[in-house]
Amino acid sequence: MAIVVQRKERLSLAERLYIPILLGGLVVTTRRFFRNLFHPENLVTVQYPEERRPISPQLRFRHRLTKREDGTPRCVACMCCPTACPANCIHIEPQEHSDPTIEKRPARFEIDLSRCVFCGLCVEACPCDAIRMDTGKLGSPSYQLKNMVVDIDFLLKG
Amino acid sequence: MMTLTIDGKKVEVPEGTKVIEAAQKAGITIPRFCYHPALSIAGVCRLCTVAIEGQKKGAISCNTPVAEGMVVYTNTPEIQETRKGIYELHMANHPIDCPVCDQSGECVLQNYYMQVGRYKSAFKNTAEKVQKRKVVHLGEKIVLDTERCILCDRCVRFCNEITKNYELNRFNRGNHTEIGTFENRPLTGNYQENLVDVCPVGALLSKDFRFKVRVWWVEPVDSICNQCSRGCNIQLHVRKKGGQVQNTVFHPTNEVYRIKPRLHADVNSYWICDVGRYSYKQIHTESRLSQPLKKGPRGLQAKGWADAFEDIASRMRGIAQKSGPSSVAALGSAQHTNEENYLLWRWMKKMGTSPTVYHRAVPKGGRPGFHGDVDWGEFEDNLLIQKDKNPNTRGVQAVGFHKEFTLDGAGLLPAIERGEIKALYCLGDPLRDLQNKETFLSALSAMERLELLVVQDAYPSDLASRATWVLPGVTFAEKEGTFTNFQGRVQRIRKAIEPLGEAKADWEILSEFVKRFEGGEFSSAEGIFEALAQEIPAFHGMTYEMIGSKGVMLPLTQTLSPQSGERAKGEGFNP
Ligand code: SF4
Ligand code: SF4
Ligand code: FES
Repeated sequence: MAIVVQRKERLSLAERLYIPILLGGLVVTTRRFFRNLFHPENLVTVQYPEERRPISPQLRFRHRLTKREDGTPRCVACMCCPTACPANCIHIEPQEHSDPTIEKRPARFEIDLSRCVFCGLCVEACPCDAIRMDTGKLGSPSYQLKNMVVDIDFLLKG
Repeated sequence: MMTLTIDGKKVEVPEGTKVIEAAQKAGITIPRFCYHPALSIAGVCRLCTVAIEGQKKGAISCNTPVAEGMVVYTNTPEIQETRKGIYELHMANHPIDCPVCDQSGECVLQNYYMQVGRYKSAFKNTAEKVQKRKVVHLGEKIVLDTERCILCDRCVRFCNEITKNYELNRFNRGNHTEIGTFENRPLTGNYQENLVDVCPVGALLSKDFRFKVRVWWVEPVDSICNQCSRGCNIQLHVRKKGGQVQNTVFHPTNEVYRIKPRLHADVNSYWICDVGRYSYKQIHTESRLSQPLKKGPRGLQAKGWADAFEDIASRMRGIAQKSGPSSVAALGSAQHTNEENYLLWRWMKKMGTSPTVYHRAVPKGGRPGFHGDVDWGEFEDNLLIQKDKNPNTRGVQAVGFHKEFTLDGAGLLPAIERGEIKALYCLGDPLRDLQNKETFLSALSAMERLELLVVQDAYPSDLASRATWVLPGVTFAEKEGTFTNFQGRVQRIRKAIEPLGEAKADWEILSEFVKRFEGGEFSSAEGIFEALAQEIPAFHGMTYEMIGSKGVMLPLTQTLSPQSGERAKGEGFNP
């Protein structure tokens, strides 16, 4: 449904004369100019990429795989995250774990970041807190799609 | 007959029926762990407790016979509370490691928890749980997790009552009770994988399937096992092409991941043998034919289908015109479906000859998962495995191939030697498993005298490598059709995955020839079966719809044949 903007039927005299309104605008611009000139600390513009705005720690960053005390992945290759993933970008191959109380571990774990929609459902789905999106790093842009597929070593480094 | 009321529904059942079965008949499934329709009653899990009017305490419905006028309630608030209490005890020492457990998704414990469990546990300290043995290897097929076991005794009863090898039992007492084998000896026999089906939880798992794929990523397709003439009803669990899209890099689609039995009381009950269970591996082997091949100066060369159809048809015509129709012969196959054998027969009829010889594969040596003191080809037992290892011997006979291709090829080989037969179309490879090396070699050299030898098969072989044309057919998982088992029961196989490479369903290949020889056009296996049912008396009146999931028997005159064994010898087979 389109929104219909009700315009004023008639313009005021000042508007019809054009010049006064134009000058009014210039006053605002000039005021801003001098304020910025004498108080640069209040500038709103950010000098990206030299300067960056702080990112909320709640943001969903690039994934990482958490580790056990011995440095091996906490992941038990239960396939909950690929099941939850709406982008079908997580691929896991399971393997027997040497410790029978853990039983299972990922032999390979790949995330195709070019397909990921950063929804965080994988993190929600994980029963072992093995996958997190708290690296503080944003996605990994690349000229080649295949370079955006990250493997288990990359994910463990975080 | 006795009439009783269950949750307000009246049911009439024969005397001696248990309440749990009567309820099933009324459409009410009472939660149960230890009850299994093919096993004796153990009554150990207590989950099936119901309230019976006039009795103060609840009664276990799996072991309570019905009585006239009995009034049963399966879902009163008290019963619900009782179940929760029972559930809590079952789970007291359970590790609740569902994410890691391979049974997850098809676990009875999980499912009933969501339906009737959902208790608030009084056991607050999980560290107090009794720790038991995990990942216990019971031989090469089965792995046991004693912590996940709910001690329902189904597996013990399976060993005692079905296979009668008494291998599994309970050890220790109370909280520490565990299932196991004496001194951890490996399980033996050809029916071990059924333990995995019988176990309601993830305590007994298949090593072959473990970690392979999550069960919610596969879908079942009903089919019939092709490993022996019993024709056990099975399900192929597959990832279909274009189906579930998750995790496809390491778990490809268009693949069969496992085989599970499907209930048929008169054929295989709830069971299948391990050879049948592992037979899906033959679908995804390296050595499969995936392209039409033609003999050239430098061996077999890949060609297109159009070439193949054109060349074979014109050569067949040429030979039949030059030396008469009887110089053309075709070999039916007990490894192929009724439809395919029928098409071959129909095509040959059109050419003016009538084919009579079929072949059976007599596999030498072992098979994955097979334990026996003789070759798999010779082996039979009194549970399921039949001596005839071909899924469709009765069918190919009923279609009209009467003579079996034996050592002299039922007169076929001498006729080829004498030059009377010049062209031979083989469905499958009749020589694949010839026991005797010398007869094999002489048969091969006889075949080399043919002007035209066409082999239509899914696998390469010595015979195929000498053929003029090799046409890539498919395995039973890639096509539709019907097999006729040793009882004379016509049952349907269904296409579960797409054919490998350029291979075509065998009926598709044959229907192309039938079309070229003006024998009619067929676009589906069902259409072929309709024609077959009209033309071949044994199949009169049958349709795919009639066959359904239970199959249709050939008429009685056809069901007694010296070729195939008798009905399963009763003992231990239920039913
Ligand atoms: S963030 Fe969402 S899209 Fe990305 S991998 Fe996780 S579940 Fe998939
Ligand atoms: S191993 Fe499975 S079938 Fe055997 S008693 Fe335990 S739960 Fe029951
Ligand atoms: S099912 Fe009745 S006691 Fe287990």
